[in-house]
Amino acid sequence: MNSMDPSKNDLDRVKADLGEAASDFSAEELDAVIEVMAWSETPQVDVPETLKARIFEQLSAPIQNDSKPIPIRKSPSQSSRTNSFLKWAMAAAVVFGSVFSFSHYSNFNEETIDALKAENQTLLATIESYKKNQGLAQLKIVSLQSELDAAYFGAAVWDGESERGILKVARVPQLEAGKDYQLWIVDPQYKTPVDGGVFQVDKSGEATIAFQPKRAIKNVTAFAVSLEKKGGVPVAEGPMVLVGAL
Amino acid sequence: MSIWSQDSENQLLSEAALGNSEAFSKIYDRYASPLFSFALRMLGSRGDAEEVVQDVFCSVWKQASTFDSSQAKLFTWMTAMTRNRCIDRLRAKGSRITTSEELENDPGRVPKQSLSKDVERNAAEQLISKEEFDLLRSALLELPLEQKDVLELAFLSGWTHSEIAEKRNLSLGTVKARIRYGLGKLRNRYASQQ
Repeated sequence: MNSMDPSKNDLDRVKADLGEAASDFSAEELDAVIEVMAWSETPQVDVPETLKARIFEQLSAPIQNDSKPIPIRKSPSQSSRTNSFLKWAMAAAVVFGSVFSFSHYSNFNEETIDALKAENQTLLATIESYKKNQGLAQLKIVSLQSELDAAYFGAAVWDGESERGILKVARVPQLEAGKDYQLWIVDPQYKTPVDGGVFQVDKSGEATIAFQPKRAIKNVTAFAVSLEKKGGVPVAEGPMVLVGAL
Repeated sequence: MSIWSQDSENQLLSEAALGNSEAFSKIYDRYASPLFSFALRMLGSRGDAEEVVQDVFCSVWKQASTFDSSQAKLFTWMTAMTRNRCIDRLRAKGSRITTSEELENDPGRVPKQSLSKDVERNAAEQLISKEEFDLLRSALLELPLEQKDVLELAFLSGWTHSEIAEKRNLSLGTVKARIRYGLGKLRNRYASQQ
């Protein structure tokens, strides 16, 4: 099961409570047991009429707070663009959720790769359809790989219209004191990559960051993450940890 | 087992993950009542049940984009979430699932019939294929009472096997054996209908 899958903890807990007899249950068998245990003697009760409104009321605020990625750079114009940014940030969340669902595989056999390719095609078609429907054709999506370690993984979504993006990395090592990861945006109009900001990863090696370069970006051709001294540098000096070309 | 097409469920969840509140609203309309019924059965308090269901739906909304529908059904996940949150509340209160005797002594709690074995209208009847569900349900109801009892204590009360053994005055081995036998019967019944 995908380690990012939020259902994993809940279902694992049910299994654990049922004990070793359930430890080798398949997903379908666990489905069946949970349903019959939960519902076989549960009578229908009408749900309170006000509950739905309360849930949506609660969601209306946290949606924006929880969906807003951790900013690296603050922009004076950011608040005016929150709505459009939020709209495609949601798309980014789906991209990350889907793309990173693949990242738990440690061994790829032919069958797995074929399955992932098929899933990927479906995902891309869904994203393209969503982009078209929402007027988000300007979105660019790229995965970042590493030559240092094949396990390092990243994905970026870039909005060429608002010139901001979201980067998510996984399985990247935590840094020692005095070091930062630094994001770079490659735009051919500039001689050197544009600084996208610095960041750290959590204990699990993951980070999700929003970025908005200080310099105007006309045409992104690649993203890269390098290892730099604390606070970052004007021009990349350290080793490239992740790179992804459009 | 759900008669709501897996494809349509996944589609709604994908749209909800993109911030489509209308899709999320449909998920709510479909699942709120059975989940509330289940929470009420476990907690015996409408207020607590409402809070749990509210928490479950908010979690689904926030985590929809990372849910892997190939590994679990949304309904199963939401049921497991509801169950786990109810158990957390029961444990926090030093309580457990409400018994019929407790209900009789506390009119403010869930109506007595909510724990009746003769459920007139099952909370999930709109969501689960009746034929398949009846087969599994019959397997549960056919279990010897002592096996059904320990299974329900483990699933609905979240008691550990040791706690069940202590409170039912059984050996740990007996508790494990009863759960293993009960789950095995459910599993065999499930396999037979595939």
